[in-house]
Amino acid sequence: MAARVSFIFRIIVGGIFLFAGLAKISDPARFILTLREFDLFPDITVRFTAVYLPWLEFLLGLSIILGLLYRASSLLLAFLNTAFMLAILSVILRGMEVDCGCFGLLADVLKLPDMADMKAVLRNAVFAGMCLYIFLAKKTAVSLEGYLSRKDTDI
Amino acid sequence: MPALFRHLIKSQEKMRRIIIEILLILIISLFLSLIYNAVSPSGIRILPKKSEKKAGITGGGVIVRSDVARVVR
Repeated sequence: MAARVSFIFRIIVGGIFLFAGLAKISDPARFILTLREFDLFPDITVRFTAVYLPWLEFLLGLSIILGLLYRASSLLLAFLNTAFMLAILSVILRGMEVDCGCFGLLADVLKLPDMADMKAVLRNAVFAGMCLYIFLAKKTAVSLEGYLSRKDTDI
Repeated sequence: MPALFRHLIKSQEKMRRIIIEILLILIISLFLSLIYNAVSPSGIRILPKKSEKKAGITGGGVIVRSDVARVVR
């Protein structure tokens, strides 16, 4: 049962971050402008984050879906989601109304809500919880790691 | 007592493996992001030019490679 729940969480979380990463990779300029609105870091950090973070999200999403290095990926994603929550909370506490920038171009295309508000904080909290579940679950169903380790024991 | 030591050593090995996997993911995504940024037409400049630093320009507009190419032409 836990293995199946872990698998479902992997598909949901992995899929969301894979597409969110791809949406931001395709439009880094837009992501920079969104990050600048948060007014948290100096410009060089913002530019570096706009280049690096989308690829990190994409690879973490891919790794979780495939079930390869998925524990490490889920732990990293839990940490990332916590960081996102703190960033959004800081915006809320400063009374700013900005785009969350979570889904980039995808938010416009699919008309997804993407403001930095309490809904975004709750959403990230749920994702962090799912990632922690994936990390702590003893087993997961349908994973590349499971397949490879079975292959090793067969040899 | 030996069972406790075995458990602690196993946990340490697991944590070490997780840390190595995390570092691997971070490094691979760093390389991929920098390479893609370098070759993509929508790539952006991460470090400011010396002229921008001297002039005290710390951001504002976002310049992508394809925009520069259009202006140059």
